[in-house]
Amino acid sequence: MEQMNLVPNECICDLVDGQLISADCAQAFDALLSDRRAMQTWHAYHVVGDVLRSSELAPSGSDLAFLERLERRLADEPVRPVVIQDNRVPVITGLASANASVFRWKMLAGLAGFALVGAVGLNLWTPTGLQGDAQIAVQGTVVAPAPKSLVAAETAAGTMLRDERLDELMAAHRQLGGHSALQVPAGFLRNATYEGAAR
Amino acid sequence: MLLVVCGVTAQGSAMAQPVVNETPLNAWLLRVHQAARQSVYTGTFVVSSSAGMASARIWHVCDGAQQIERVESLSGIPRAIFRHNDQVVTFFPQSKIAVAEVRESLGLFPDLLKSSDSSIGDFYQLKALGNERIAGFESEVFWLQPKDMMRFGYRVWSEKKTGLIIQLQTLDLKGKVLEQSAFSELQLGAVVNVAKLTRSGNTDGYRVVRPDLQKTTADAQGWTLQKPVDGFKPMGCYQRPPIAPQQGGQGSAQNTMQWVFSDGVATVSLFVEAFDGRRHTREGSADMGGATHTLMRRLDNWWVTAVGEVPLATLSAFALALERKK
Amino acid sequence: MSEDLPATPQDSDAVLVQRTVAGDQRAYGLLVLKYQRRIQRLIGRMVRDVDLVEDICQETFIRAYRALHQFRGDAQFYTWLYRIAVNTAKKFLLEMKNDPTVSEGFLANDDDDETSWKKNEPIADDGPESILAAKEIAAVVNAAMDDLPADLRQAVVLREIEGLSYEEIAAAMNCPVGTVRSRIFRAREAISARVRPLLDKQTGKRW
Repeated sequence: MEQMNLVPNECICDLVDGQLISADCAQAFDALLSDRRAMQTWHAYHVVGDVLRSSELAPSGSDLAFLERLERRLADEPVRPVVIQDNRVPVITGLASANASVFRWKMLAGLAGFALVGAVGLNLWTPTGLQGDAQIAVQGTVVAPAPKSLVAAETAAGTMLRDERLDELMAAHRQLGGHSALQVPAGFLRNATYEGAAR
Repeated sequence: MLLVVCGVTAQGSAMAQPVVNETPLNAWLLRVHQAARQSVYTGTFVVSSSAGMASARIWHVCDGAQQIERVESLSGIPRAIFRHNDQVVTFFPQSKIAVAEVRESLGLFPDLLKSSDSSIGDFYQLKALGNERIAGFESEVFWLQPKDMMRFGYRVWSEKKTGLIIQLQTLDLKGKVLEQSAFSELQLGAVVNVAKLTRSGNTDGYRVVRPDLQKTTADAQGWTLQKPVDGFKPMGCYQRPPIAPQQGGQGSAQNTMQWVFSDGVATVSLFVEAFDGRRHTREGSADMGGATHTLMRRLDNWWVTAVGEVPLATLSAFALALERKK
Repeated sequence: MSEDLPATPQDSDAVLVQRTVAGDQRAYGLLVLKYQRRIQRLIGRMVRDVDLVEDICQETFIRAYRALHQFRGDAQFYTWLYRIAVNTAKKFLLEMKNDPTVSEGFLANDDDDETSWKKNEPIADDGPESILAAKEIAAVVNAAMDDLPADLRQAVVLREIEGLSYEEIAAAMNCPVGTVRSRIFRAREAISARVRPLLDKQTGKRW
């Protein structure tokens, strides 16, 4: 007979289905996260659900060992910059290496590749995000009350306000901006990698 | 499987010279421009700036005068762009929408060089910086240096044999990198299944949308530049239809004019639409990272948005020079 | 800390994402335990080498973790994760093959139907022991289902296979929601009691 769980299995069951019935279960996520045994129950319930849907989803190796390996790698991941709401935009100048042939954006946590999001007004940087030879000059802008078409979006730099209309115009600019020697392939591809957000 | 090989142009072979400090600029620009059009290649392309990173896979083939290109996004909204010469279709598989358009700006560059008042050399100079191996290719590194403060500089890694640009950095007025576009991996002269590539441009199963872009002239629209901005020539003027509001955005009730300028290297678009007090509330610039800057300004009953890969001062010059014809 | 958690499964994913972004990596572990089998199956369809499947799977979850702050709660987490998995697998394949031929078409996997995969796609071959272990687990789940009282079995089928909410199941079975909750719980407990020893055996030790 197992020791008593810190988290009742009924609550784990509710969490699996996204149901929260009683006040006790409201704290279940916290408890679940600190209780390895409860996480095993979470895992078992999900295996059951998956296998009911398709026998192909039965685990052929240890899922928990997979997670352990993953957690060791995640422990090496850099801590994401904390977003600070700050209306003052710092202007940072640094040393540009004249012969820099490899340019690294060190504040980006990895090469997942993500959508470029336009932002209006607020550039949020924290000093911890800027390191080493990748120093960036940031232009300060005046912040005014946000118009309705601004949408908050998450980027590597933190929360940025994104103006959809401005995105549309930028896309339109890129669409017709091929009048340059440097635009092909760099420019066209650059445009192509950015496109999509405004459509 | 077809092997498609495009001949190296006469320009290309003429460029096989020892590195010198000053290279004839126009010839160099033409060479790098042609290389992209006439080489066969495939690779992964990454654009990075302070605002983020975006990447795509690209396949490019050509057959004499015809070019076929496919760009598949590896980041952001899933999309694929298929191009056959100047016909471009952008596929959005999640919504099953395909946007078909003609981009006549592609290929205009050689005409720009041929025109008698071409003066790119008045505004840029080329400096050779040496050789470097990048993405597995020997490349020559150049600095395309602006001669004034109205445009950005560029560091260019150009593949030795063909001139294809493998990496491009846009540099601000202090020489700091604003944006970098580069092949993270590249196969030149790749063996590409052209038939399959061509088939990937098929729009079956997609709802095809053709944006309505009318070619016009600034003059016909009633606009002029009271004073030209150094080095920039008008490239074309278009009228864009009203945009339906989407997802919380407000769209635009009227046509928007887009007036495009270029100095041969950088491009600026001037967007003009009717002023709308509810939407047009912030004048000034917006810094989104990267090389593209924007500037918004009210001009009587109009709202002007200037967009371009140029310093803010240049956008200001455009916005201030724009005036309604008398 | 007590929170009002919403009632739909999608939103509980969103809560886990939020907690991860807020700095709690353990919350991400719950998402991994929930989706890893589906992701492994997806990648196993694209890649034959089973060790590579595992590597690509790890890489997928790492990339998703790094990009998590961009995940907008208005879309399904699994759809977003799915796309990362496909891209990661393709990248591995391209690197390995070093073959510039055109990809299979980046639309190919978008209509993957999870509950009934119709095509005969090769699935990564684990080796006899692993296949046996997976088959055993599937067999045990089926046997446990057969042994369940009908009302418990029906409740868990409606929930797991039909994807009905508790309210919908209550309407279908003409009983109160509380009863639905109890039936699903007892069904899960009964089945997992039989599956757990097999899962523990896979792990090799008490985890």
